[in-house]
Amino acid sequence: MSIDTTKDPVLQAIGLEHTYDNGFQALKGIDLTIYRGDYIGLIGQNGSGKTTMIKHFNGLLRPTKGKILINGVDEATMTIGKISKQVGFVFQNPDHQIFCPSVSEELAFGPKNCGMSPGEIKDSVEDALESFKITEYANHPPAILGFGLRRKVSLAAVFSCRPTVFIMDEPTVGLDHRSARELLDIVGELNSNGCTIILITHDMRVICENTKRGIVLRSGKLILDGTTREVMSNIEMLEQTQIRPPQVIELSKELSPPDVREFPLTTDEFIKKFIKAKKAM
Amino acid sequence: MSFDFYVKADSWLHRLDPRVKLVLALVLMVAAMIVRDFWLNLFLLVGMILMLASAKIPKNRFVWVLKLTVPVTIMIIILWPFFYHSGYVFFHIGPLPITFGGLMDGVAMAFRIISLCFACCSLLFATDQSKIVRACVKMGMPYKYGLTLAIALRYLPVFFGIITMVTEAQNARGLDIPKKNIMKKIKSYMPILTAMLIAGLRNSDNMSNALETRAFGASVENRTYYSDITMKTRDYIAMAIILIGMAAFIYFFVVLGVEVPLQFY
Ligand SMILES: Nc1ncnc2c1ncn2[C@@H]1O[C@H](COP(=O)(O)OP(=O)(O)O)[C@@H](O)[C@H]1O
Ligand SMILES: [Mg+2]
Repeated sequence: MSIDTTKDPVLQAIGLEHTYDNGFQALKGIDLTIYRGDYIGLIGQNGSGKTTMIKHFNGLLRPTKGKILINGVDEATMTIGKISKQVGFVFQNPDHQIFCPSVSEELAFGPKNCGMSPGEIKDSVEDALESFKITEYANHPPAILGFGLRRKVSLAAVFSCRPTVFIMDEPTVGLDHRSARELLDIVGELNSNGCTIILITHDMRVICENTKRGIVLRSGKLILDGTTREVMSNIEMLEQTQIRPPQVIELSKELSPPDVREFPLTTDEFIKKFIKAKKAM
Repeated sequence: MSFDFYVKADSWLHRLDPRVKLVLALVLMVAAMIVRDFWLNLFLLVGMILMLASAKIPKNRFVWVLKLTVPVTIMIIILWPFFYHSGYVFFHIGPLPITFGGLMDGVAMAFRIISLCFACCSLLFATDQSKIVRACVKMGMPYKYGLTLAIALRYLPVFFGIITMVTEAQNARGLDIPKKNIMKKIKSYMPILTAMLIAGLRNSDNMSNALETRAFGASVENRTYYSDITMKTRDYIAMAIILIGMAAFIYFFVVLGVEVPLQFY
């Protein structure tokens, strides 16, 4: 199985390069098409250019060479306000965006900027509160909520703009296992409702258990792009970027004949493939 | 531009004791304030630039200071001739004569402002910030305030980094900062400022906990320091030169009130 390229492209990077003011070239020519409904795990060491690339998708950075198309339209012609209606980007630290006296006002800020009507704003705020299961906190001041809830608020506050692409930078960092699981379930649900998701994370298990497509960056170049299974099974290539896939994959590789190229991604899959299969024999 | 003032280098200015540099900066500032004459101000300014250049301060720092002061200096040069008149009259704007003397005095004023900045920089560019704080504490500032100052300096770059990130986070939610309308511009900064403030408070709370867990406030009689500073012979000599220079300067220009003969207006 490989990536389904029959769907509409929502984001396209064409020969994307970026050189920072200090002369450092962080992206060295990236060609990438992201399709509607993709659930992408973006992987790469610190400094490989993940954040730089993502910032091009929502107009915070502009290409120094090449271009970005959003739903087929060249991004260079759009203001950041217009882009943020289509591409939502949640930053790592929730405290960098929380400023309103109540959660619902926080969620309404984006939609207001996007020029929604009062009715639409109300609907999308309620929708976001519900999606992220924070309706009961609607009137709480977000700044004094616990970290996990602040994280949810920061996601909901971007989601309330109803973006078609939803990008998250390390959304599970600092969360305990249960909160992380809960958050990923919510994100998974958004994806099954048609939202395109890009997830940056260093947690390979999160990638394996949630995403459908994997993209690996190394020093500003795209070195792997395929289904999560294809990417995660390419142990040799991952090793070159100091990434170690979850142990189930390494174990499966040891247990499989040498010509097998795709391995189970999760413990459940592993059990199904190796243990149940054996029992059945 | 990163917001760390300090330029790491090895030069005569870098090697001086921070207390000497503190005094030097003060003396230079006082001198720049006392003098009010086109040629003398120019002399002081060029002198400071040469001094900093000899201390291996790179060109881009000078450009940075000049850029910073440009708006103020231009305003002064334009406005000054309206309020100060002497010598040759160029023309009148309404009842106000615009004079050569006024213009020259304005330019001198501008030199003064730039000199003040460079005087501060002679300290900031060539001294590690923690050393400045050590100097202040050595000269009698209570350690508590010294630490406060150190933390403030330490957090300047962090603070500017956070401003960038907060601005980006709010931009990503569709916040466009309008370029034209000032009132709207101020209003659109509110989400950024408020988020900064909240993040800052949270930071300071963490910081105070971190300080206390490392025994800040424990009443130790004579605390010691990891990197201490000591005055060497060359520091005493430099200090003497600075003080004598200062005294001579004050004697000539304040006590005797010497007029500079070079004046041509
Ligand atoms: N504002 C900047 N100026 C100069 N270099 C930068 C800037 N931001 C990031 N970089 C450099 O670009 C490279 C990629 O950074 P980044 O995109 O943040 O990587 P990642 O998100 O994958 O950790 C790094 O080497 C980083 O040092
Ligand atoms: Mg990053």
